[in-house]
Formats: sequence, C-alpha cells, structure tokens
Amino acid sequence: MTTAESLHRRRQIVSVAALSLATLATVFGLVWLVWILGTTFFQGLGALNVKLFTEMTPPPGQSGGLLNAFFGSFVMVLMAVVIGSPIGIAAGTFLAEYARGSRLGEVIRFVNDILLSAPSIVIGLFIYELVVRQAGHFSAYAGGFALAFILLPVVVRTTDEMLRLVPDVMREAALSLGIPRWKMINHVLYRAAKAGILTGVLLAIARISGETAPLLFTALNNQYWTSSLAEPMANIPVVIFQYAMSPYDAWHTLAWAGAFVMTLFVLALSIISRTILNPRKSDNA
Amino acid sequence: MLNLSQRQVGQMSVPVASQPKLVLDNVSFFYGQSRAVHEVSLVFPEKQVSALIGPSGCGKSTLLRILNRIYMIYPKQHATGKILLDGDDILDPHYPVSRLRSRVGMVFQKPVPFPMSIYENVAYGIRHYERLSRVEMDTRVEAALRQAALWDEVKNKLAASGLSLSGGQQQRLCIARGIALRPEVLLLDEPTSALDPISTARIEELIDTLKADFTIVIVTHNMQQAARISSNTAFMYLGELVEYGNTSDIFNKPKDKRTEEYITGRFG
Amino acid sequence: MSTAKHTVSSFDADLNLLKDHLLQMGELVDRAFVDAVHALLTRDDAAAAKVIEQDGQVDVLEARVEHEAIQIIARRQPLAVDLRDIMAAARIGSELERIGDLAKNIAKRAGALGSEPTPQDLAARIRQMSTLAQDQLRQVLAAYADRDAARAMAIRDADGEIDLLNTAFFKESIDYIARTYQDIAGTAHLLFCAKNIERIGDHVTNISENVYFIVTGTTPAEERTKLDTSSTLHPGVDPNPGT
Repeated sequence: MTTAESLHRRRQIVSVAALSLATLATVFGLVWLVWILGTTFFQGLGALNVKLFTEMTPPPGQSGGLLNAFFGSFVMVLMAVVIGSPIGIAAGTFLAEYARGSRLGEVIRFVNDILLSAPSIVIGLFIYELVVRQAGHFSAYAGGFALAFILLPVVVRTTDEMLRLVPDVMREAALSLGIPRWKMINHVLYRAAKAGILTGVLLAIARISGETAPLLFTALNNQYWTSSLAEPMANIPVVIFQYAMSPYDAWHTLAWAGAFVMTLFVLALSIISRTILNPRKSDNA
Repeated sequence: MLNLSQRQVGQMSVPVASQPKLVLDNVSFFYGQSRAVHEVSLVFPEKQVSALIGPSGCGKSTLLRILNRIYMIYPKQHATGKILLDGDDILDPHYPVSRLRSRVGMVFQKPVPFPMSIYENVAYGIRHYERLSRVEMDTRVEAALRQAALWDEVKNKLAASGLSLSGGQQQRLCIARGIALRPEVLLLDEPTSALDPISTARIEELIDTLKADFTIVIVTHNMQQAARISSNTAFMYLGELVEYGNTSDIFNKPKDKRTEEYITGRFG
Repeated sequence: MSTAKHTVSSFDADLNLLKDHLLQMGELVDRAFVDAVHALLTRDDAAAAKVIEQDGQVDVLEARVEHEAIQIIARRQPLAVDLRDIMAAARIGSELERIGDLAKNIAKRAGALGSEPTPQDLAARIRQMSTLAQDQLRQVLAAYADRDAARAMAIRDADGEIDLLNTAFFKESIDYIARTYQDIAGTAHLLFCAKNIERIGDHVTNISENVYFIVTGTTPAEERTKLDTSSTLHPGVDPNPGT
C-alpha cells in the first residue's frame, strides 16, 4: 500500500469511529428523553383522562384532577410573560441598538448573564423577602413576579442577539431613506427579527413553566380553586413536589400525570419555536 | 472641451463643464483618531455619473458614506470640511439629516429589501414624508418600479415578500425604494458586485437611463464598469484623491503614475 | 512610462510575445530589403527569388501578430498604455508587412532588368537611398523596442532626406534617358524601385508615429514635411535649380 493509500485508510477508520461515537452519543441522549416520556406516561396512565383537566386537586383518598394547578401555572406564567417580555425586549433593543460597543452595554450584558444563571431559588427568596413578607402572605402575583424575573434575562439575551443578527446594511438602508431611528427599529428591525424574538420568549416560557423553587416561596400552593391573585395559587410544579413526597398512591399517579403533561408542553413549545425559526416553506428565494 | 484644473490640496477639480451639484471642500473623515479620508476637494456635476475607484481601503466607500451622513449612527466616526448640495452645507450639524436623506438616496452593495411586501418596500419611505391616498400611492409605487425597470416583473405580485425576488431583482427593488423619494442625488456603493453578469448588465443599463433625472455617484472596484458608465472618475489611494477628471482621460491617458498602475493592473 | 510588472504575469508574457513577434518581423523585413537591393544592383536572380519566397513568412507573422493583439484585447481588457501598446502593435505589424511587400517588389524588378549593368551614378543613388532607409528602419525598430518617443520623432523628421534623394534620382533618371536613349525599360524599373524605397521610408515614419503614440497617447502635432516633389516634376523644368 502506498503512503497515500494508507493515509486514506487511516482517515476512513477515524471517520467511521467518529461517526459511530457521535451516533452513540445521540442515541444516549434520546434514550433518556424516551425513557422519561415513557415512564411519566405509564406511571401516570391511571390519571391521564379528561378528569385531569376538569377536576380540582383532591384530598387524599378521593379522585380528582389538576385543574386548579393547570390554571394557576397558566395565570402565573402569563403574568410573567406580560411583565417580563416588554421589559426584556425593550432592554434587549437598547443593548443591540444603542449600547453596541459601549462600556454601559458590556456591564448590562454581564449583569444580565449573571441574572440568567442565578439559581431560581435565590430569585424566589428575593421575591419572598420583597413581596411575601411585606404582604404577610403568599400570593399568585408574587409567584408571577418571581417567574418574570427568571424570564426577563432570557428575553433580554435572545432579543439582543437576534437583533444583532440583522445585518447593519438593513439599518443603514432604512436610515438612508431618512427614516428616524425609532421608526426603523419598530418597522424594519422588529419585523426582521420577529421570529427570533418570539422564539426567545417561547423558550423562556418553556423554562419558567417548570420552575418549582421560586414558587415554593411565593405562590406556594392551594388545595382549592382560586382566581384571586392575592391568594396562594396552585401550580403544577409544586403540586408534583407535594404529591410525589406524599404516601398516597393516587397522588403519586396524579403527580406522574402532571409531570407527563408538563414535559409534553415543554416539548411542544420547543418544536413550535423551531418551526417558527426555520420554516420548511421558506420566504427566501 | 475639457476644463481640468491642476489638482492641488484645497483646490477644486471641475472635470466637465456642467452645473456643479455636490461640491466637496477639504473633506476629511475620522474613525476615532485615525484619518481615513484626507482633505478631499472635488465637484460632482449635475445629472452625470461620477465614479470613485481605487484599491481596497482607499476611502472611496467612506467618502460616499459622508455624502448622506450615514456614518452618524456610529458614535466614533465624524467628518470635517464642507459639502455643498446646491449651495447648502450638508455637513453642518444644523442641516436636518432627514431632509438630506430625502435629497440624497443610497443603494448598497448587498441587496437588502425590507421584510415587507414589494409594494410596502417602495411605499415605506414615501409614507414617512407624504400623506398620499391609496390611488396616489399606487401611482408613485408603480412609477418608481417602472423607473427601476422592475415593474413588468413584479406587477402581478406586489404583495409578495421582497425577499422572494432574485438577487438582481432585489437590487432593482432597492433602487426603486431609493428613487421613490425622488432624490436629487443617488449614491451607489458597488451596486453590482454581488450580482451575476446579466443582472449587472441590466443595472448598468438602468443607471444609463437614470442619469437623465439624477446625479449619480458610484463606487466600483470594476474598472471597466467605471469606464463604461461614468463621465467622470476619481481615483483614490490611501484616503487621498490622487486624480479626478474626465473618464476617457483617466482611462486612456492618466496623469498620475499611480492611477496608471492601478488601472493597468500593475498595482501590488 | 510605467516599468512595473503586471500583477498577472501572463499578461506581461503576452505583451512580450507580441513585441518579440514584431521585432522578428522587423528583422525579416530588414534582411529582405537588404537582399532585394543587392539583388537589384548585382543582377543576382537567385537572391531575388529567395526574397520573393521568404515574404510568405512575413505575412504569416503579421497574421499572428494581429491574432495575438485581438486575443489580448478580448481577454485582458487593457487600458491606457497597454491598450495603446496593442493597437500600435497591430498597426506596426501592418506597416512592416507592407515594407516587406515593397522589398519583394524590388526583388521582382531585379529579375526584369536586362543583363546590362546599371549606370554608375544611378546605382550609387539607389545605394545611397537604400542605405539611409535601412538605417531608418533599424532605428525605428530599436525605438519601438525601447519605447523611445524622442528617437522616433527624430527618425520621422529625417525622412525628408530620403524624399530629397528620390526627387534627385527622378531627375537624374530623366536626364540619363534624355541623354542616352538607352535601356529605357531598365531605367523605368529603377524608377519604380526608387519609389518603393521612398515609400518604405514613409512606412517607417508611420511606425515612428505609432511609437510616439504608445508613449504619449497623442499623434505628433505638426504635419510631417514632405520633401518629395517628384510627383510635380515637369520634364525640362528644373524644380530645384540649386541641386
């Protein structure tokens, strides 16, 4: 065999080996996902029926559903999005458009990154001190605030990055028509980056829907239905926590069912955001 | 026929007997502390095509971008000197930038239509300045697209996204967008360097027709293109204006050795 | 004039090849001219035949030069001095080709002359003219090779001398015929040969103007003074009483 041939053979071997390793790693990752989904599905099968979505959390021994928990999670996540997204998008816009190379921008980005990776329990404690202790009781709006604080840095970061992905030429093209800067940002930039920004918000929602620790200190839990924001409110993560630790089988099953629905929800959000960001039927020529 | 005054620092060069549209007087440009354009003085005559040529980094694009003050969005960049557009000094901080940009339009190297429909792309700029009825706007949009030689290709799909067009069509859309505001001057920054030969030829043909209505300044690294479409050519090197004059003189008998070396491919 | 090399070296190679072919043509034409005059004055039929035959090579080279010039224009899009260089090369090739034809014509007439030797003074005049013209040709080719515009202009101006010699020869030939009534046909051939030599001189000045054009980009301002008045000579009337 000539040198060229032996080198070629060696490259082939390395290539096959690397491909095998990569495939194994992928399979490894997928195995867990499938296992989780499978486990939560089968374990919660007993409770996966219409009652899950129509009945309240039951006292031990009775059958029921998770309606108030779903409602509570929905309300608090919605609160978080309504509070956090506008601020996050505005801050991200500021960073991308007005603080590109400045010292201030670097500082803000740095602080934002710290907040992004702060343990959520710390945030929970913070809101506990600020809101719950002042009010004297747990409440849904405290929970909403806590979730907003977790959502905010994610939206800031993704908005900043998505806006910076828009080429400068587009900005200059709009400005050279004499369009003022704020209009350019509103009409052109946001439109150009909207898929990315939306994805950022969706991914942040996926993140906060599963946060347990902050809710433990803010919204806590509620056995009964409430639609008042000033009261503690049921939510999926805390219910799962409570029911999983309990000695009752029926509660265990409900907890599994809740976990399954939540996992599906997060999976769905990821898939949706992927479809938005990379549509199969592309607009581009 | 040719009035070419000897170029010295501070003196103007008037290449052809025609009304001056843009008069640059000792214009310099700075990125922070470093100077990218050194005291350039020249005159762009009205309703003619003037080309800026030179090797990479010579300052030709920088000079072009001074003309509509697009550099203002970047904090560390600033220009000195005077530029008179029909007598108004457009570098004067008191001269309103939006007025300047309604008189001086720009088309960039990369075709970059807005993420809107073809119709909206053209109408967007107009809307900022004028309140037009639907019919009036339709007429304006059609006129701009016709003038940009794009109307026939898009008249049945005005609602389609601007990004659904081919590269050459996108560039013509950008040109339509620029001329929809009816500017007096059109700045073209290497408008065909990202396009295939056929699209390039179409845009050169377009420039030929546009010069009847607009004063055009074009930056190009394609010397044959400059020789084909411009009446006046300026050769820049390292931020300085080396030579400026009639295009046929520059390309047949350049006065400066550096100019000759550049255009005959003896540079570097 | 720029002495820097082109960034694309094959461009320089193309231009040099063009120049070499032209100089090759010049050499061929120079030799043909010398040989033709020699054949004329020594009645060497073999030498004359060789000149006629070798003119074909000159034509081949001219076609090649033209072809190469067109190729360079198409491929390189030359500007300024390069473009002038190539346009002039094509024209110079054409001029050299015509000089070759004129030499061939002289060689042909060499065969047409009778066995009688040429009268001394006429032969001397022919020799004088041809030596001058040959020298001009060599100088203009050197001026082209060196791109020397000043030298080219000097050659152009010196053509007047050939014109004067031609006029003198015309007069002397007429006198000879009037005096001796001998070998009228032969003398007529010699007149054509002298005219050919004078026209070779004119083509040399065309080449010199092309060299000037390459360097400066313009044609010379003043009209060249033509001192050949043989076309206006009237028999019996001496136009130049002083000569």
